Amino acid sequence: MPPTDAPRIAIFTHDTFGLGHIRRCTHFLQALSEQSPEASLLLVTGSPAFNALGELPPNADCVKIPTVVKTATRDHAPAHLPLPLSEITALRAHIVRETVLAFDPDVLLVDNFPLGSKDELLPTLQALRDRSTRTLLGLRDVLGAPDVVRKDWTRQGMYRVLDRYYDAILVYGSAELQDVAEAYRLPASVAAKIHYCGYVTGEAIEPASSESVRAALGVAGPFVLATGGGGGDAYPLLSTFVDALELLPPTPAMVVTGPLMSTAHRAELRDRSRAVSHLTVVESLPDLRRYMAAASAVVSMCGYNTATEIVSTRCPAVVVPRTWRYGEPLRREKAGTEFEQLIRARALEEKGFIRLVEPEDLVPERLAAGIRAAIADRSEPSWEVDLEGRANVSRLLLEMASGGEDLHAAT
Amino acid sequence: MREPGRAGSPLGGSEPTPYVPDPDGGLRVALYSHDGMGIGHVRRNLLLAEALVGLPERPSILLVAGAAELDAFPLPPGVDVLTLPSLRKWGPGDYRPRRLRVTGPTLRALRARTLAAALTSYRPHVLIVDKLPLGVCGELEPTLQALRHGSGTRCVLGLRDVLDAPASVREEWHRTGGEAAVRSYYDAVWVYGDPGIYDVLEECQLGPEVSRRARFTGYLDPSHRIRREARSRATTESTSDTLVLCQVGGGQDGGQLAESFAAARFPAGTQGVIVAGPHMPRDVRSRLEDRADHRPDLSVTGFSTAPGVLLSEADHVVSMGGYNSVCEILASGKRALIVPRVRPRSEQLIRASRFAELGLLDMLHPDMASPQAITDWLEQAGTVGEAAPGPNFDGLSVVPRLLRELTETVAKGNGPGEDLHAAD
Repeated sequence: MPPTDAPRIAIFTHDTFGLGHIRRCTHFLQALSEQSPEASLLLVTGSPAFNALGELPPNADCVKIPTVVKTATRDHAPAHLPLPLSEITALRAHIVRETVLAFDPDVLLVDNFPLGSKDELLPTLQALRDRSTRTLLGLRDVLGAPDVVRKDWTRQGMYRVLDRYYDAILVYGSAELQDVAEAYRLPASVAAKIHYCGYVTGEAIEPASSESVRAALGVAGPFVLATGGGGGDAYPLLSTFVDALELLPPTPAMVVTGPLMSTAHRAELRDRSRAVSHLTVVESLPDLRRYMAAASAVVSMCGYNTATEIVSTRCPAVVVPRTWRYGEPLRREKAGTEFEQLIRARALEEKGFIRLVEPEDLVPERLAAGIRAAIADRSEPSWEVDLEGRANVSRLLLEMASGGEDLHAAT
Repeated sequence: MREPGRAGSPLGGSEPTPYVPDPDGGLRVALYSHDGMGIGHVRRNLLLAEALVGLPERPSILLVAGAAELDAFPLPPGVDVLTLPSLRKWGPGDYRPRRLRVTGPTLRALRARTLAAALTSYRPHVLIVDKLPLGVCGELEPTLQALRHGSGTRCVLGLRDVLDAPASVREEWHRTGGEAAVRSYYDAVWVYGDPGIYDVLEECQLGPEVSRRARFTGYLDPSHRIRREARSRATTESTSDTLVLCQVGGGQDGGQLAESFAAARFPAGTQGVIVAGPHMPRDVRSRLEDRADHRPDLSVTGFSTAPGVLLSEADHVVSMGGYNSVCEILASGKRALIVPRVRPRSEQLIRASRFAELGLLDMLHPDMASPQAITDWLEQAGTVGEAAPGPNFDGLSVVPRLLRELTETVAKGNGPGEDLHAAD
């Protein structure tokens, strides 16, 4: 019989575009399981990308709720119910509230969206006010353009939500890269809840020379790697990368499309690779971080996970942040969070981690120039980044679960 | 932070108003299956879901199942899933948390509450429950009560062709109040089988309440899925070799058969492929892989979510005797040796025996399934002539029709609980 005082921790992650959120939550669950194998860990998500319980530690389980965000996964049309969004939202709100209340967690961590989709978490958060469950909001280092976030939050009443319903705010980043309280003008009562936890990455990989990593991976000699993250919107970048190869001296190159790239786009990249003998196109690499560590240059977008992997592997990187969505450019005034990647990329460029190619400069010539420069550049980044987010977040969750942390003390 | 988009203060309202479906809205169907052992229940419900999305009403279909079994199966458009924290079956009626470190009662209460929240919100026109009228450990009963009183949902109990040895079925049915549950909550009982092969009502005496609601639908024909899967994947290099497949379903208890197969001698020019189920214990799997490393004519492949690919390429099959496996084999027309599971249930043994008596497949009791016995079977497998006609395989066209009949009685205004079969 398990001890009744073993911690119960629930994590809610909304089903957004891409793989980043679900992957980060998986990292937390892994770390929580290592630190507390007796804990009961429940992931609640609508993510259609999540269908692999095998990735969860043995003491974690999943309540997958009906999906609202259409994300094409692999060769299958998005799984979703042909119902009006309002009905699916009401259904999700009800399932989440009842599941969380029945699980009665010591801690609920909500990933990145304080109210989930369309305020669906409000009933849950309201009900938890009368419970001892501690409610935590986890935020990425950069949410979006500060003025857009401020406007959205004001309109949506989000400042009051943070004040009233959350006991603590964990930032998966560093105040040095972006001061969340200042950027979004948080009132003092909310700012006091912030804990900076550092960047969240997978388990540490052994530092090794590029040569030894190459040897271990069975890759001969220098190579260039292009990764599209989840891949849902990586086609413009990866296709330009293939064009750029023609402008470079022949170097072995590898393109990782990501599992969410459309079948047609992936097939097109594969077709093109048949004409270029030194180009390999794969859907995913289980050892992607090791390949990144070994590459002479890495070409990527600048989502949270990719950026963290670049920083943790210290690979020479050429980054083209996403400012488009589903293949269409966004207008600035509607683009709010789409500038997240650009803001992150600029900050990382300033710290010497990456070479930035502005999204409007995404042409083969500019990309090839960036790759050449990245390969030649041997300078070291100037900033020591806290990469312990995975362990820090899980430690904080466990401390809060046992009631041992004063939530309202500013760090 | 872009997503939460409703204008105005989210603090304005208090409780959200419960979702009340538009009576003229689309058809909503929910399928519940329990987990604990194997992957058969959910695979069967997926087949049904695929058949139902084809209805002209374009229904919305919610599959509800344990997280451990719904892992990684692709879903057709119009279908979504709700997963529940998983259970593992330890013995008759004994289900415990598979992953969460909470007590059995805690997890059962959690699952019951999530189920009730989901289904009372979704308010399906039709709820199809696989096998257990009250769900695992009765977890479905609060939901059934609420649906019967609140939303006029038509409830259907779906039964596979064979449940278990009749005495065990009767005992369990009696212990868990099966007949009373059917009387109180169910409009129909669909048996996904053919009474000409096995008549579960006759054999098990499930009671008059069940008999008067029951319809045999015929077996659920997976040919369509097999063909689609076979098309969807690049086929393996075709060789002139004879391909023999060894499949053990989920793999939880298929290790012995797989190991006997791995130790059998294959006729010249034969390639053997073992499909390890997703629940096969790791040590068994690595022993099989070791074996395959030393045998050029044997390989082991991970469980595929598209088992039709290999099946369509196989010449002969050695398999356990679960419902889905047997249907797939019969539909594919491949000669098969079935080595059924015999405990804790006799279901597979009964199924395999009936089909073997009709000459549709060969059967070997697991106690007899030595490497030598498998070697002997493989020697003669190629020489068997045409088998007798197969069973009624119309289930997937009958079920949508039955579902529509049920919803039409709703439309005509029959309240819940009215006896749909009075006129039968």
